[in-house]
Amino acid sequence: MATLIIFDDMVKLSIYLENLEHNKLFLTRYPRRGLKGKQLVIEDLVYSGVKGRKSIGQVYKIAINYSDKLVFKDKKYVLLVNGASEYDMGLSLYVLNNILNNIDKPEILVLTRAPPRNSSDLIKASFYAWFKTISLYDIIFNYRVNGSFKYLLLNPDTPLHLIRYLIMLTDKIMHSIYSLLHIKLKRFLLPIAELYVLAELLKYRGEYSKIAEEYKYLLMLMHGVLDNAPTDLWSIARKKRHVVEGSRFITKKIIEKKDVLEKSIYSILEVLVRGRRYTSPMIDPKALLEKLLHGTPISRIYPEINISGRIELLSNISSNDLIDTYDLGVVNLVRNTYRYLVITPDLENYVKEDNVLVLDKGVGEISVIEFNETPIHVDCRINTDYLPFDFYEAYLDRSGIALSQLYPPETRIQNKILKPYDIHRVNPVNYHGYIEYQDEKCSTYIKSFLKQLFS
Amino acid sequence: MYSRLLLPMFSIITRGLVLSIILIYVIALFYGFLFNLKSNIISYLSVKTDLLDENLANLVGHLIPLILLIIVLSFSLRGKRIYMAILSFISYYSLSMLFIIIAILVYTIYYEYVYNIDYQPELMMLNTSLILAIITGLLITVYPQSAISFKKVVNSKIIGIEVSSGTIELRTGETLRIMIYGEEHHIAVSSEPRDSIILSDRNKTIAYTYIDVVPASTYGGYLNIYYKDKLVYKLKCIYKEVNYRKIKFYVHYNDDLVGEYEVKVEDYKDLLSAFTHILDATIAKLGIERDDIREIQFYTEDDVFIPSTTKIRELEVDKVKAKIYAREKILELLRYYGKKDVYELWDTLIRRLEFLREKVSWLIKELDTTIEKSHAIIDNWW
Repeated sequence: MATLIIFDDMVKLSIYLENLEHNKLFLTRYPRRGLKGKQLVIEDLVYSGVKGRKSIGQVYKIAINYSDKLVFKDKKYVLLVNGASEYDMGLSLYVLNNILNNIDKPEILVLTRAPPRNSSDLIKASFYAWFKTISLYDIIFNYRVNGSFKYLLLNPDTPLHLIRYLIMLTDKIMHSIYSLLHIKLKRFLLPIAELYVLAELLKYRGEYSKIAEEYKYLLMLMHGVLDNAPTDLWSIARKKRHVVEGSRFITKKIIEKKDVLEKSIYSILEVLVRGRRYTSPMIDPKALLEKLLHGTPISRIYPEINISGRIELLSNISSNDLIDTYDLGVVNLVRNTYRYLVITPDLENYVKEDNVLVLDKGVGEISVIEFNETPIHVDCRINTDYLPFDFYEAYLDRSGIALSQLYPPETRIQNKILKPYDIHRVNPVNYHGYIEYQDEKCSTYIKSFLKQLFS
Repeated sequence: MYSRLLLPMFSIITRGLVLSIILIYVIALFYGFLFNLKSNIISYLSVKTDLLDENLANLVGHLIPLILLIIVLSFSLRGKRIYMAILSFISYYSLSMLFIIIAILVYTIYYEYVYNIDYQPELMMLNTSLILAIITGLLITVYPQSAISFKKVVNSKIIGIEVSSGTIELRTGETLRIMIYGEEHHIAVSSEPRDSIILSDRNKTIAYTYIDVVPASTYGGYLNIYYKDKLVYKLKCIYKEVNYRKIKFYVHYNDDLVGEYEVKVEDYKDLLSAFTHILDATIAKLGIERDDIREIQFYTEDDVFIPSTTKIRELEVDKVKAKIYAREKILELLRYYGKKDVYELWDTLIRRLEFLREKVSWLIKELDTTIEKSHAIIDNWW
């Protein structure tokens, strides 16, 4: 089982990761409470100097101070990095360097949330530089052992569920898929539980209005009785005062709850009708509801809606209908495409297709997921726009002023030491980009650079 | 949207003229007044070929137009008003006659072709008949068998009105009348927004069906007219000059005064419709159901009854008492419990209240778990 390394700005993901069996290692700025897993505090306050944000270079230096604590022994790692945080990026570079130099034949996956388009120039530049460095690591790791390094970018607003989903799937992906992965997916749910809850909520709504009505008449009736009652009834009534007073509180509560109820009904209906970005209902909820109302038992529902035909239909969905998990940049060229059907265990008997991944738990869920191995070679104009152009512009601006902020002060690779300027001179190239185009004229510089590195 | 094709001028008169010319031509052809036939077309058939003997042909030739007349007349009169019925009768009659003529001509040409006789004149007759049949068919099937015209009713006089501008302006007391000729079930009239225009039911006269239209307020609305789900007219319908009157309503609910309202109302409305909005407000305020209201009456200040259909224009006073009478559910309950001992009743009420309280707290607990469940479920959709 792989070790999850979660950096400080991804810690809010921890609730979603609780059910996973992975070992978890949280690298945080200060001690945080309620994290289930090992926690290692790397305080960036120690570094005297500029207040506020730290750059990649500074964070890397801090990490060197903690080198006695940052020791890695496992073989498999999943790194969760927030691209909008220099802390995450700097620390992740240190961790990768550490793994590279100390562990024989590791397996690594780096999941990264790209920074939003409107973030500051400093972050954009840092992210560009980080991406460049990571791509270099991609070449080095995969050069040693094929398939040992994968990395992928995600949208800034990616739902946290999706990240968890991808972590669950990576255990099942084969070694043949590696380097930069561009992922597309679409998920289909069978909304039985949703319909069940909806029915329950509707039942409560009816009951509530009935009770509210009865309350009204009861209180009116009591008024009517007291209006023309003999005096001794009044004295009896006064003894039961707390009952009447207490009912006022209940009435208030009923009204409050009714609002919540309406809102829940509305949001369930909204989800059923529109779906969400990555998720849609597998069949029309209305048709399903009709089936259930006509007395089809739940155990018979799969054959009744012809589930295997439906799975076949959904698994042949065209690639354009799948949703990109990263769409800030443009993918022009893809090397290999691997397509999988992800299903829950209860659907296993109905599937005839190949390339099926079965989830450990869950009910009535099908996803179609596509892993695209994406080569990057900027010198040869391969996927130059995978990072948006304004990221590159910000990098150009920034690198002129302070190169030492964007890169680690020194990167040790196989007894060679790389200075920031060395990495700065290389344009983004990743493993597939390098391997595919190493014989072309445009890649002479990177070739000589790597030759020097590996000699 | 303005469709000239549905005007009676084109739909009935022009089409009628064309069709009647065709009918005259067809009858002339059948009885042999054209193309030098000298006898009717059935006798012509028996002379040219040996299909019929002359006696029988004479009989058949006189019977066919009569039988066709009875059949076509009976089915074309159904479901249509008189103008369109005449039109459809003319067209179907000439169409069926044309088919008989065409059948006879085809047989004759075939016969003459086989026996090597010159069939040039028959071919010409066949061509003209075919063209006429196609024209008639087009006029009666493709061209809608309906017509719509717009008239204004002022003091029960009907005046023509121009609608090409897309807006219809009415003065107070005037009504827009939409006249529908022909197949009325294909034509639907609706207003947009829904209650902005009051549409009357369909009234039938011998020549046409009509719908009376009155805007509900000064702002008016759009009148949509559809032919078979296609929008053919979209007209704005408003009141041009409206006089307002201030009326003060004293609202009584079951003989208790519950409110006073002073409102400005359009003077073409009747008293009840002027009171509608205040009635809605009162119902909302008192928390009673609309179905519980049994009676609404209007009185002057010195308690003289005013019928609810009186027009505001004709109202002589400015202050009106409106009395709403409703069934009171509590009274019914009290009447039921009245037979019992009042102490016992009080005890029952308190016990019921306690029971309800417990039930509600249980219900709230149940609901909370369900709502939590719903949150978890919605969370799964990302």
